[in-house]
Amino acid sequence: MATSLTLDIVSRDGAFSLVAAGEIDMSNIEAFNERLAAGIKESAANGATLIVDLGAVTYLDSTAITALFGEADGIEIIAHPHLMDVLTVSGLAEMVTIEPA
Amino acid sequence: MVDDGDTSAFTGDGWRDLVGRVHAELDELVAARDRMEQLVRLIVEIGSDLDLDVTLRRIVGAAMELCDARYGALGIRAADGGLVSFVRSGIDAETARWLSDLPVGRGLRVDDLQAYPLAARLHAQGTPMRTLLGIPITVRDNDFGSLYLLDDRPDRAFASSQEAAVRALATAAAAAIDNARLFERERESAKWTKASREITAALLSGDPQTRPLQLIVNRALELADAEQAILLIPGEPDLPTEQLNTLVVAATAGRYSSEVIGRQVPMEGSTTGSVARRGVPLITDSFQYPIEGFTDVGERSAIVMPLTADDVVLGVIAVARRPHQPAFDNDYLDLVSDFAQHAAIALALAAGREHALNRELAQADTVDGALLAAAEELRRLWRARRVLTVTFPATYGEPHVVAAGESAPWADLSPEIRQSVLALRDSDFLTPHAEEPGSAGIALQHPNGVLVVWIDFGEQRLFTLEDQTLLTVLAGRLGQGLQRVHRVDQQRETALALQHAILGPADLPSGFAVRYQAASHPLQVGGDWYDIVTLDDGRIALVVGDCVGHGLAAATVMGQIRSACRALLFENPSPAAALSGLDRFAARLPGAQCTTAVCAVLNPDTGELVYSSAGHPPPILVDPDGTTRKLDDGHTIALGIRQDWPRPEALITVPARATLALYTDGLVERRTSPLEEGIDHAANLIHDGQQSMLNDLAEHVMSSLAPPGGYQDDVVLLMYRQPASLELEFPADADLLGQTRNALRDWLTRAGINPRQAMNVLIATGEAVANGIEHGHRDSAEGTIRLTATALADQITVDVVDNGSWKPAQPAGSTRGRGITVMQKLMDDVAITHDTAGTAIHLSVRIV
Repeated sequence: MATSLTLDIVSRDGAFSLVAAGEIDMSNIEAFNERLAAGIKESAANGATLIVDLGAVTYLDSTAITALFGEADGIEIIAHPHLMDVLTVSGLAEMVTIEPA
Repeated sequence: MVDDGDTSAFTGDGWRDLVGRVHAELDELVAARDRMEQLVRLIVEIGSDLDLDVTLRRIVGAAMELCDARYGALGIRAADGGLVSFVRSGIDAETARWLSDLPVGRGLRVDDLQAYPLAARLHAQGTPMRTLLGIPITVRDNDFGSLYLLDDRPDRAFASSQEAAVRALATAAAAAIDNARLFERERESAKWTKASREITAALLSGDPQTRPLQLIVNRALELADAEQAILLIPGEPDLPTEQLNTLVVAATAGRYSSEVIGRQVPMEGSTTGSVARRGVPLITDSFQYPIEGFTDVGERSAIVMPLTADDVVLGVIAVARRPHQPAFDNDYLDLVSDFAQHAAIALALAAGREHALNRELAQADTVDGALLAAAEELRRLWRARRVLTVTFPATYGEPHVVAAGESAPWADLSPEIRQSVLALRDSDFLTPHAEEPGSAGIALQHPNGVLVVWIDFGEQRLFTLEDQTLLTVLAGRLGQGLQRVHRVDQQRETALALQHAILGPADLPSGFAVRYQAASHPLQVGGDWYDIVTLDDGRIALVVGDCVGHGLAAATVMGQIRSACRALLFENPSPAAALSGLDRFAARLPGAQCTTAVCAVLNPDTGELVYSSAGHPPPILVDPDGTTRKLDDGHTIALGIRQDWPRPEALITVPARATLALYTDGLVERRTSPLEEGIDHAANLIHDGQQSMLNDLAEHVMSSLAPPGGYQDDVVLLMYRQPASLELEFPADADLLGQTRNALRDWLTRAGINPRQAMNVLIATGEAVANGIEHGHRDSAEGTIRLTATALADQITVDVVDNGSWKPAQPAGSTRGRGITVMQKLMDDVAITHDTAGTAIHLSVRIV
């Protein structure tokens, strides 16, 4: 049983968001990658930046961070304050705008 | 001189007669003067040598010359009249024997032996002897013996003047013999003294090769010119002389050695026994109790000499001459006694060796310990290369080897050694074997079968009879020692089984550490107890108690109280209710009154602790911030004193990462200082050791509080740290990551870690586990991962161990490389070790 995670691409007022809820680890990273790519594609088609909303993510590991690094140029991140440490020490905060949820 | 044809102025024959008489008298005078001169010369001659044998021969020669006799003899008698030596010249043995039996009284002259009635025996032999002169040799009424002169020429008879001359010679001879004898005795005595010194030197050298007992009998045999010498030692060396039952022949020299060695002689009714008992030497030719190979070889003179050191009889030497040798005379007793003194010292030393073994055996408290001690003692004794003790179980199983020197299991011994040992196993018990040079062995009864002791000397050396006796005696001691140790062993095994049954659980739930030490050695159980039991509602009951007294009696009371307490807690998980129940129980159980106990029920999730104390020292609680508390609420009198005595209960919450200690007074009570001081000391040690793992801390507290020489009372120390360490083991499967994470998240909450730091620990741990799954177990579906999280006062440690192979760190940017970087940045310390068994990652972080 993979770790529980819901992923929704939401568009509102011309802005595209990937809203994640749950935990991201190596058991469900493929789903995350796939939805991330889809979100990027959709937002790029509309000339917008994808907002990755991790406000309801209670855990993520380096596979998720690696995925986010891969799309660093096309995303902004909203994250739960407890995740700020890992996003910072990984260096992602230097490349991507991260807002606390 | 006389001219028969001569004539003179005097009347023919008358003149001649006169002249003839004058001539004859003159001749007599001349002859007498000549004899006197001859006598003086001979007396000077016989006294000129101090060697007794030479002196005696000279006397015989001188007497023959004086009397112009063809034959001469001299018999020397001992003080008791027995013949000591007989010197003869020209006389056959038969005549000599007749002479030695012939009483000469104050002198005997027989002109015609053919007519002498006492010579009938001699005539029957057809002797040609015709005449005899026998003169006693005496000095100051001491009868030394007799001088005999004989002749076989017809018409020959000894004259009175000759008899007188021989008497004079005999007087002088007696003085010469006396001198020579004195000298002889001095010389003999010097030989014994020299032998004594030799024995002393051998003893002082401590060289096992010298074998003092053997040296003693060898020298006694040689110096006494004897046929056989034996040395007997007490069969029961531990008993005082008056209680001894037997003597054992421990060393022998001369004939029949191998027949007589090891023979036993009763103390009662035996000559050797009575000498041992009275401590007085004697000379005898009839032993009251036969010693096979010693007394049954014919009648012969023997000296029996006690070996006494410090008024204790250590043994007896018996020295026997050949049947026809002269008997020992009393002078010999003096000679041998000094020698016996030295022999006694040698025996004392041999007994000391036995005592050394006994001492080693007494100190051993396991059968294997006793075997090792014995093997080392035997190795030291014979300076052997190696001593093996091999136990063959009576029922089944591999022979068990305990060795001094090079040790090896039975299967690794060389086939030759195994063969020798097997042959010994099938030989008679307590019978030494040394068929192969360079080794010796013996078999004996072992409590659980047969024991073989095998000695490898590491060199070709003679295993003497004395060695064999010593080995037999020591093996006998070893057998007795093993029986004793075996009984103690069994008692202890029983006690240990009892301990395991009644003391407390050996497998503790996580988070606990216990130390138990019983005061009574070798029993490892006493009146103190502890119990940790998981109740039906998931809470954990903790009990530490102390029954009055220690040892087995207290332990039996303790076992019943402990079981009762457990039952009461299952019935009603309330400490106060359990102790009230115990009040009723203890009131009816002899020896249970005044038992003290503290009983607590812990909720491991929340740290909530309900407790009640019955006259017991207060538990100690040390918070992570260093606050130290004695939990002295909920306290009242000891158990079994009053029925229906209200028992209070107190409730506290054990904070996260606090350390709780329950203990018995043996840990903290010292005669020289108040109990409070001891409790404070223990609290300080726990306070200072909060940074330690709980097991290490328990060890540290026990060793720091132990008085010099160890605890004199039973001691229990039970420690708990909230929360218990988290211990998870799960298959290396990514689908289980979430579940594992939840367990760790809950635990981190219980450990009082703030959510943000908890997240960091979760992520770092997740990386470590992911590493185990992704790399450690890529090729294997069977791998497992073990995760342990432990909270110390100010630190969290996490260990993740897998049993797969490690992939070297990848460059940053790759997935795992980033994972390791993340771990390192989120934690204070990351240590990765990997070997063929798997990979271990240790994470630690200071709590903020």
